[in-house]
Amino acid sequence: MHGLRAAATAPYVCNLPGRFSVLAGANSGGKSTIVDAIVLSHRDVFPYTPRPSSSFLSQKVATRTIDVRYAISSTDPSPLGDLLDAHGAAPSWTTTLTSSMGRVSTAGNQVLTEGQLPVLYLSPTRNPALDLGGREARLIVELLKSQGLRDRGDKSLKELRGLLGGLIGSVVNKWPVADAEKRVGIHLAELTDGVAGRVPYLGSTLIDDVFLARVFEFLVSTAGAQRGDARRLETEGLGYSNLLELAVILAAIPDLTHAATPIMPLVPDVVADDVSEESLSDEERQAFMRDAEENAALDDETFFAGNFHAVVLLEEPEAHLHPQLQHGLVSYLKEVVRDRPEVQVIITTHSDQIVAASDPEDLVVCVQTNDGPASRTIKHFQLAPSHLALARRQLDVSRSASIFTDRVVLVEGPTDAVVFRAFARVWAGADRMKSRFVDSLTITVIGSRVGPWLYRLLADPAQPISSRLAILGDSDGKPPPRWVPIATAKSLGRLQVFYSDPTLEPSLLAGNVEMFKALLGHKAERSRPWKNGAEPDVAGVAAFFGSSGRSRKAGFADDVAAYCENNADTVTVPAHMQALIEFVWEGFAMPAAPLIPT
Amino acid sequence: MIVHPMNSEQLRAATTRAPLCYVKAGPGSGKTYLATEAFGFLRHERYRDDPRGVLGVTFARSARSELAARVGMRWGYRTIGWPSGVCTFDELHRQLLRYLVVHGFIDWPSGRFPTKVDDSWQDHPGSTGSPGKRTRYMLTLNDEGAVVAAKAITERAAPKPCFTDPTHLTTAIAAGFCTHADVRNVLSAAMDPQFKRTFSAAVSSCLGRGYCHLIVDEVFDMNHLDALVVERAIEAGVTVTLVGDPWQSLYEFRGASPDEVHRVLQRKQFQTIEMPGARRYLTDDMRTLARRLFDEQPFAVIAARNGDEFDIVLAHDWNALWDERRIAVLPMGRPSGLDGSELANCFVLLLNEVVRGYFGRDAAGVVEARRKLSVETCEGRIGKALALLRNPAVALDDVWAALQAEFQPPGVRWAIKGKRATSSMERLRELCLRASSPALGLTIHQSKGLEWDNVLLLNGELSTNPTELNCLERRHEDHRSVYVGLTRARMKLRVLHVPGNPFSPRTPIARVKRP
Repeated sequence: MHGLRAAATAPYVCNLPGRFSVLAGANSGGKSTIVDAIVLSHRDVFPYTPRPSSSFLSQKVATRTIDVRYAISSTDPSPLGDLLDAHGAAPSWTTTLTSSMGRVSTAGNQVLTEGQLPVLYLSPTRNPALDLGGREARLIVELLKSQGLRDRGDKSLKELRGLLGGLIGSVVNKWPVADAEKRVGIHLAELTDGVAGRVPYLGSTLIDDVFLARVFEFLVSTAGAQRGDARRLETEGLGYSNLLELAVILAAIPDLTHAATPIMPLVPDVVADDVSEESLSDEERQAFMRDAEENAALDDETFFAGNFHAVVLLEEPEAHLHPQLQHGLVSYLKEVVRDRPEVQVIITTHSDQIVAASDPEDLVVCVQTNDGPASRTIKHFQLAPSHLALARRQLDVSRSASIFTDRVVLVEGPTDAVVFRAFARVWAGADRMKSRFVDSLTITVIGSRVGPWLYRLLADPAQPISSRLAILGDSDGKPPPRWVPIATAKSLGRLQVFYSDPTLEPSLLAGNVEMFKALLGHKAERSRPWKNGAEPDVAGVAAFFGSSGRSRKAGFADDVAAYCENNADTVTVPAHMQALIEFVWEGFAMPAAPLIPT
Repeated sequence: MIVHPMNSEQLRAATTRAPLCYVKAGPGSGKTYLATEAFGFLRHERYRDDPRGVLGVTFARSARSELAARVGMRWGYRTIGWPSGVCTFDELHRQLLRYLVVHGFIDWPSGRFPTKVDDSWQDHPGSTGSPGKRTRYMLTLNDEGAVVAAKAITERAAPKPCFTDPTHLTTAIAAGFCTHADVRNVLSAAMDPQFKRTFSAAVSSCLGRGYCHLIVDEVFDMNHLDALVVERAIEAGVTVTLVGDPWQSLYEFRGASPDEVHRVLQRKQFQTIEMPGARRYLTDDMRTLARRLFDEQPFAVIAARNGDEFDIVLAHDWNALWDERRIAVLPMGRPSGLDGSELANCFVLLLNEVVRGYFGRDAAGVVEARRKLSVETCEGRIGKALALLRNPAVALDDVWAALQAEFQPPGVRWAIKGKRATSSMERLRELCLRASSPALGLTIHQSKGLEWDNVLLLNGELSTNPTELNCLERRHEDHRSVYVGLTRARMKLRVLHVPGNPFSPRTPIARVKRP
């Protein structure tokens, strides 16, 4: 993309990892730009979306373009891919964006025919009740056609059209419709003074797709236990309406694995069969041509044509959805993608649940860098399978996407997190900017020893997601593991590891003996880390929290946090924590407040 | 209900479900119309649920555009959208070759198969339009499947302009350029039955996975390679409709091979549907003539007489039209013997202006003339010469001088024009001054596929003697050419006897006494 929104000045490239991808990351990382680019560059987008305002376009570049490239995967075959392969190339094209009457106008030649690369776009600002129950009810007609194709190999819906035609016919012939028609007819004749030979009809019996859609827009509803309890969609909660719309969309995408016609090799007895075919009359042949015409007319309205590839674009599906449903949504969509080779799902999200439910290989993290926004496709990091497994476990256990941020502190356990943030607040003192920084700083609990996979995932200089990655670990009295100095050097200043020596609690002692006395002094001798009459020391504190005091770690951490809050003037920020917070803080500047134009 | 104006034969040909079908179509039987109808039947009825494409294949790009436009208008533009479509054989060859390259069968020099294929090597460093007796080079495959330059065995394999140094050819290919002739040569090598079977199998698989049906129009223009491609498609289970008139094959000079087509028809057991087609003809005389020609019966023709009027004059070559002084005929193309001097090309621009004035269409050869003169547009630059041409008081030398003054770049001296240019200019003035409405003159090649009410055919072989009938033989290309000329008229055809061109020998036409 070049010349629009996040790609206003420099080209922005996003590589989607496969048929299931989740775009995550902070605001202004370019997620919505990617969504807009997909919608603007594809011809067949459902539901119809109005062209965005010209302010999308950058004035700094001469030609604003979106280059789209699909790739055929050898390991993930699809019906369209197979056909494209025989024709020699995957589709790729360039859409040029210009401004016209204050709106973005697009020009470009998507090479495939209408209906072969449909995009189904669920934007967070849509109203499912309006979409399904309004002008976009055509989707339901597609759903019915898809069902017809599945069950009977025929998507013309002839029977349904006939039934409805009969029903409408019987209604329009009854009083009062027929009588009312007659009266309107008299008025019309008066008005036109007999010039036009038009006859008004209040009911039409032409059952085309538009008509079907109008009928079904009134039928959509969600139900309680029984159809009779069903409520009109407008009255239903947004969360369920969203899911219903998604369900209708997924069901409306025809299942190509069901429809595929086996390719029959030419066998000689087909020739013999055709002798009977020769005796067909002209009338019978004319009927074939009429069928072909009817089918052509039907196909002209079809949203999914031939071997299509449907892209379902879900922008922030977490809106109005309970976290558990969010998790379930991702699992279900992954299943759909696995079973339906013609479907691709792209999700953009701010939801921890959705990121956590995905595999790391599905993720594209959109980040802000010094050179502007960029996207990182984790699949292309080529992490070792064991590293990916660790990342997956982290996402699963924490149900949190918080490791994917610009400045992140990784700690081993929850007590480290509590204590570190408390001291960080002391460090910030009365400085308002530092305080806000500490409050919003991401401190992620890894729950085990921090390994090199996190560095590879987050701070590899070739594809950094984080600009500052600080790790707080226990030295346990040993020298740092071998990967640490190597990774620190390789990361070009993005990574630093800090050690609580030998563990968290003893590392707090220096300068804070009063705090230890205040928090533990009143306890019995066996419940505190120093003997009567002696002073707390590092060895004693380490021994105590390593053995009998282990169960008191959490309580102690809470107490430390509270003590720091109340005695900010007297506590000393431990040196390693001071160094850590300054490392993370370095180069951070709050986004400037927007200037009011004069 | 929509009434189909197709007659029984057309209906049958359009709606057949025969796996392999040959529509033997007479002149004026509506071949493109049939192909249009059949396309819709195939796409929307017979292969409605087949994801693969229905492919129409033509020879000329003009025919491709015509068929695509007609199918689009009749059935909706989605009908010819990918994976279906209409293409020329050149374009299909390119697709097949790209498939072989992309799938690693063929090692293409630059590694990337070119996205655009040119018509010729015109203006490429090292290419020459006059190779003389020097060896010409073409592309072929070595045993490992790598594309290499080799000596061209025939002139057709390396048409002019061509390369006489193999490194120039390989340099141009490595730079990402290619011509249709090169694509044909490499694909021919790859599909040679003596070469690797896997290559032919790959071509079959490409066709069978991509297409469910092929419709080939003007099938008798197919050459050896085209026929091989059709056979490979059939082997992959693709059903095929071939439409053509064995009498209308006029492109042997380009490699068309009607015998090859007959062999394929027999070997693959095509079902034949005859579509003699009398739709074009509005008079009994023309219907009788066309039917006798289609059935290969002896036929009579009538000589032109004073006072007859014609919409078109047809001849075997442009010169016959330029040399014909008995009637007022304005040839729509440059004389065949015109020299290549700049002045002669200026004459073509002038001719074009005259032709446009009378008939509203461009003269044949004008694009080439513009290119040779490096002239983008003639807008406003011919007017003066044209006015001088129309003024009998002005000497023709002044017309030439006006053209030279307009188009000769400063500092350049043009060569002297040839005799043919001088005589053609005289004839052009004669036509402008004497004839208020000259008839348009066309070659038979140019008239293929077209029709007019009244046609005059210039011919030296046909007997117009009322007691004699003529017999054409299909195996002679010049007889087929006569056949095409005879079948262009809707209402009236007359023959004007002309002496044959001494440089292109004709096969005599046998005559029998009228019974």
